[in-house]
Amino acid sequence: MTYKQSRRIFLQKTALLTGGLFLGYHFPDIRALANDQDNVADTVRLGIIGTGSRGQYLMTHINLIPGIEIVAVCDNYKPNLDKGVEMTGGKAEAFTDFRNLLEKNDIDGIIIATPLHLHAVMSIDSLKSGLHVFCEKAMAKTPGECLAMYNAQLETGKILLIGHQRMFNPRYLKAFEMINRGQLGNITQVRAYWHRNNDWRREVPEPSLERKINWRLYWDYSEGLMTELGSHQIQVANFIKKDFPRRVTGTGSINYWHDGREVFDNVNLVYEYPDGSSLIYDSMISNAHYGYEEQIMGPKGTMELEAGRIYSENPPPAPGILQLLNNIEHKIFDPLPLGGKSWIPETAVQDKGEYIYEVDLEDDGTALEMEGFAQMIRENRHSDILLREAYYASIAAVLGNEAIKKGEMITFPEEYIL
Amino acid sequence: MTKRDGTSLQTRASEVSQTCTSKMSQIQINLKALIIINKMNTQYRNFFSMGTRLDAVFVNIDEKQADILASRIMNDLNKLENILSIYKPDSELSILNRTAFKKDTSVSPNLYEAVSLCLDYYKLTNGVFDAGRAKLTGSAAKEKRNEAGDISTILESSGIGLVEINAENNTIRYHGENVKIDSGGFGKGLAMREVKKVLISEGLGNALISFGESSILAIGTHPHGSYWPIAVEGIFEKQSVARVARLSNQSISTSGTGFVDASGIFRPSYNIFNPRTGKTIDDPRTMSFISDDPLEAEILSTSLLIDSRCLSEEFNNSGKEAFAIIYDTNKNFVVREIL
Repeated sequence: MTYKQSRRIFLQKTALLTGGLFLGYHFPDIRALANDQDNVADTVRLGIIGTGSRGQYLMTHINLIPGIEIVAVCDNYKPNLDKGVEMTGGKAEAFTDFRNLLEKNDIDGIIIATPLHLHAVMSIDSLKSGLHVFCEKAMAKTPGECLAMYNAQLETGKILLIGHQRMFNPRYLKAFEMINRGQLGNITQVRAYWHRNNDWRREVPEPSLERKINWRLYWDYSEGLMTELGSHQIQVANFIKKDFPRRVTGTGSINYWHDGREVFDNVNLVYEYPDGSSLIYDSMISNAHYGYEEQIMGPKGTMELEAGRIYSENPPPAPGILQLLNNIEHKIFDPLPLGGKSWIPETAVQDKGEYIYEVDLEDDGTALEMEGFAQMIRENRHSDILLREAYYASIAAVLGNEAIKKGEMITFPEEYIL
Repeated sequence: MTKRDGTSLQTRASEVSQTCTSKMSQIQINLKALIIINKMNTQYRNFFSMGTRLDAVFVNIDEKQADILASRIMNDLNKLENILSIYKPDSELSILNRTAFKKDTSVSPNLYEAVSLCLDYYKLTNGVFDAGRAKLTGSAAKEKRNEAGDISTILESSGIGLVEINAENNTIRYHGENVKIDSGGFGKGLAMREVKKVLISEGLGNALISFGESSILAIGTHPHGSYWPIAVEGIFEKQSVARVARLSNQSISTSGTGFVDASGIFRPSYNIFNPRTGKTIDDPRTMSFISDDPLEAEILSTSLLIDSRCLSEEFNNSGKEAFAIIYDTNKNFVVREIL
């Protein structure tokens, strides 16, 4: 299925969702996608800062979307910059210093896909230059930087969107809507994990570039697994809980990749929400068997959002009973196949659940998110809901590391509550 | 991507729901498995209980009443499970099984009555219904049965016949070191008795309860007929109806010796055995018993499965029905009237 086909189905499906109660508080700005993309009013002109692997990934998706043009690329690592220019067919203007790019006066917005420690300064400078900003997750490296970014948006009125693409993923949106309707009951626990089995390194042409290329492994530039992976899943948990965790405790260490890195190669945390429910989170890079998942649990059922499945706490109805109900409705008086061997709960254990969303889209939300950003620019409409989601998820991710480092229960600081 | 699992019952539930919605008011299935057919005021509830599922169809009742009724049934069965489960180490029966050897043990009136009933049916079936041989059931018992010495030891030192009850002070004492009472043969029957009591006390005229499909309680009649037509199928071929039972204010219980796996091969469950010999009954067959008492249906379907002649001649004129479904080597079924 092409992106265009997927998108059309997505919009048809989500049109139903947007009519529901969910929009009242927490529905992401999929309204931004409502326009016909074949007839977009204006082409949105973007500059992209950081054309490494993530930046290239974003560009691949942007290139699928009519009405968006990348007119400038910026990277201070030449191979990445060259690749960025190449991906625009050689059309984009190249920069090695992002401040020079910001002076360019024919762009509408900036995409930032740089190491974490640069997110705040680049976002704030971009906003203050009068540009709309899409910044990759996590929002920033410290709670203070997150707050500064949030305030810069308020001050400038420009769009600031953080790259939590699950908020644009149709499967997740459908799940959020089902959860909001109470299909799982009150959510009492979220269990999320992200497991990989690799060293999380990228090839380094020469030793002097180690920290530049493998920035994710060093505290000066990164918060490791928590901001690169965990922030996505914390954001999902927060969105479902319609709140953010007030306390966190846990452990973490380098227990396998003893290769000079600084950040943990495993983290194991418990976040507590005000209603007493919890997010149990772990991430590791020495075993990939379980992959990644967000398991949402309530008294009525469980959802696995990555797998896209929902499991009921109630057993499936007996087939004969369904036939009986159908017969009663249609005034049929036929024998009911019920008298047989006992149904045993092992059958339920083998039950693979039901799909949350019936359409398989190739996009994980990234293309829709890029399209959403462009449409938000056209409408000059910022989403405070999405920014707050990113804000609280990012700070919670950082606080998780703090809890591990201090070996203490960390409380969400009052001064960072918006 | 496969959009739906074709074998999923929940998927089928959804399909039925969609079909019904198109013509009638609505059929809704949510995670509570709630189905409402507004025109008929037919309500459906289901939940896990006692290791299986209970499906309840209530006729001529509103949604709120159905919720209350289902909740009451669920609570009553939970209480019963806490008394009778042998899978819960803290159930009253589990504690009794651990403590009653050579020791008078006080029990609740409910457990006393249950054990007393087991003794009654032990006599009624000439020793075929023997709830006191839990050690012979299950896969562990299968291994034991391969060792003749162990079997004879267990047979000699177990069985409900070695259980003494004292009505004066509600105590129970085991006289055999291997006596363990297994509620598997009567628990669901007692549960269905409770369900029947609740339905009658609430004045519900028409209802159908399926407890794990093998035990059905039919109150009153089908909304469009003068009884509830329940089809007992052959085990090898689905939709091969061997017998249609016409139930009204009756129960049918069906016991079997095993199940047919996905490739059509019969797999004995090894939990049906002759309590006198310890020998399992491993050939494919089922026994169904129809009675106005769900407990009787439950116990006697199993007893007759073990020994179809275990009841006295008087039962032949009792108005009750029992029939066996047996299979030839080509897996064709034959229905044999037992009563």
